Amino acid sequence: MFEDLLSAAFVVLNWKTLISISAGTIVGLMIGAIPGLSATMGMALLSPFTFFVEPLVGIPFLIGLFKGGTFGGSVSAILIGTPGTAANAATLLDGYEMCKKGRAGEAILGALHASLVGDFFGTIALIFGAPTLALIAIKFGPHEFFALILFSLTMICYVSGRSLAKGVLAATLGVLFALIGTDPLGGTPRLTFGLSDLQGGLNVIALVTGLFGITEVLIQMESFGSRAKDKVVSAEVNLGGIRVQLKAVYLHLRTIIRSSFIGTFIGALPGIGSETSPWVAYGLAKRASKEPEKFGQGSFDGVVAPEAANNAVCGAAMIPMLVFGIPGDIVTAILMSALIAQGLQPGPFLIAEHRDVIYGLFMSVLFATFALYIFGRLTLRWWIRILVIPRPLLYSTIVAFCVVGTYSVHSSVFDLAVMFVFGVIGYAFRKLDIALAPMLLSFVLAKILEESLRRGLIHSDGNLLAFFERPIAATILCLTVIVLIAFAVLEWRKRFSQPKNETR
Amino acid sequence: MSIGRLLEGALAISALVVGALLFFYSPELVRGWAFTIPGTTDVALEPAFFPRLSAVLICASSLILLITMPMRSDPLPANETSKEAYKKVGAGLAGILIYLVCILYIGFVVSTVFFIVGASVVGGYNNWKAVISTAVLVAVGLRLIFRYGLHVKLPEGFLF
Repeated sequence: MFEDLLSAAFVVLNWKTLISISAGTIVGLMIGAIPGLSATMGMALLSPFTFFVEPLVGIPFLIGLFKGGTFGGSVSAILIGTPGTAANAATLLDGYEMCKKGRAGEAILGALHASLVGDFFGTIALIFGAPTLALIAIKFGPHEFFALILFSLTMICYVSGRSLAKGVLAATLGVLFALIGTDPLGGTPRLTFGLSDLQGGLNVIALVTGLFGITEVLIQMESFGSRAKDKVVSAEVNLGGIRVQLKAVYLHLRTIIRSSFIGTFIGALPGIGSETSPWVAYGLAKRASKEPEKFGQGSFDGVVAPEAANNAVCGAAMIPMLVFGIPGDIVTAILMSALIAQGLQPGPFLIAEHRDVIYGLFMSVLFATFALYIFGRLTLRWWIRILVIPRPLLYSTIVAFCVVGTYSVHSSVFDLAVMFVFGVIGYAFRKLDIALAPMLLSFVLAKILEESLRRGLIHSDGNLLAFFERPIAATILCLTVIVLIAFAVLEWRKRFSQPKNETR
Repeated sequence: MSIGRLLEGALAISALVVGALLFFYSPELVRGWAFTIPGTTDVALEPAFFPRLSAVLICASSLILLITMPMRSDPLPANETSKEAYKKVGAGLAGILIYLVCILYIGFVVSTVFFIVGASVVGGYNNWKAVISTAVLVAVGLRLIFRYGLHVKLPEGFLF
């Protein structure tokens, strides 16, 4: 393994890959820093660009973007109290308070140091965890895959929204959209209504761009014309001293390492990812702190804990995607589409069949960690300028990116229509507080779910009980049932413990 | 009942109807043959098998949403959005739709320049110099990157 890693390091150490990682990181930092834009949206917009270059140039760009975007979100959270991404929401609590006290530079740099450590933990988990897990995954048959995907969908439904019922409905609608196209076993057209454009199914990039790109543009359009929102940051934002003593970081190292472990563990579970881990890390840091009353008032621990956790997710979330072909969150779903477009089908045999490329990707993930630190540190003062880009200009430009990104995949006008329709659906869902993640992830997973279920039934002569006769599948299915019951009970308790607060 | 809750109910009912239609009409919608071993694997091999299963799930989840609706008290973003904001979104949607149609007929570059300039100015940003230069740079830059860098031809229409 170490030999593979060493030779992969030499493969990756070429100017094309290094430029690609650097460019991805810088673009990610920029995108993450702008409120409303996230790593997810950046990946959706820019992943089609990577389809036309070699895997070890295109995918490292996306990895850099993922990491940069995850950290970049903390900049706007700290400077203007608006998290660039949902993953940085917990950073806002203490980061913005530090900014108000003239310690914004210290907070951002602290977040960067924590991100570096967290990122490193996640990357190490990926490099050593994925090949080991792949050895187990090879033994998985259709029954086990079906059980695992079902489990992932259950987790996704719960963590992606405030209402379990809405999450489940979004997920089932995602399955419905995935049915359009061709039957994966028989190869017959299905739900195409005679349209030849639908025979290949809905294009996942069009769907993602619509749901995340166009929807966000529409949300931002609501506040177009209101001057207060057009200029999101005033000139008087003060970074303060951009210096963090290493001793200060050392004093908070326990929090950073604990949070990195939390982020790595949660990230490796399919479905939960970067939105949950920062809150868990923040809560535990507060509980472990000798001065819990300082949390929410500008505590340094309150900034480093969520940042270490959300960046630890980046590497760890790639484990289920690469080994089982099950994306843990939307970003890894897009990354999976990019891998498939490059002819690399994620699954148990990916590492064995494409050893050079996958170890090259592992090394890219590691290099991206250092690129994040270097570019994050060097470009710190740019971010205030980025925050003043006028929104109407920015978001109309994003529409143009959505169009070229979607069109370029198949040179299809039909895909543009799909993008538009899903933009409208995404907007309606956001207004009804229905999470978009379950829909997209079930859309991606539905084909594998169907194939494994039907293959499993064929293997067992149509006997559904066979899924409970295989130990791994049975364990995962039982876990799924337990998780579902636990979620339902929690949801029920939450409903009855909450006062009615709807005003209109 | 708030407008948001009404829309939520409408969505659940629509999903229920779609699920029911899919369940009953799957065999008609899913045309094709299935190689079957009667009595054993025929059900699993039918192309309509999974659509029917999904239809059951859609119906069940929309029913759960409908039943639990009166119990839900969380504020919906739809209720907090003003009519003015919806009008802006409507105008934005119309603008994007016109832009998509224009791309086909007058080409990507010209449509993109018009769209960015139009959307920025209507959106309240009137710095013409910045708007026009950004629009031209984005439209021409993207076209050149795709045409010569990635070898993808963007729609040209009767202009370019």
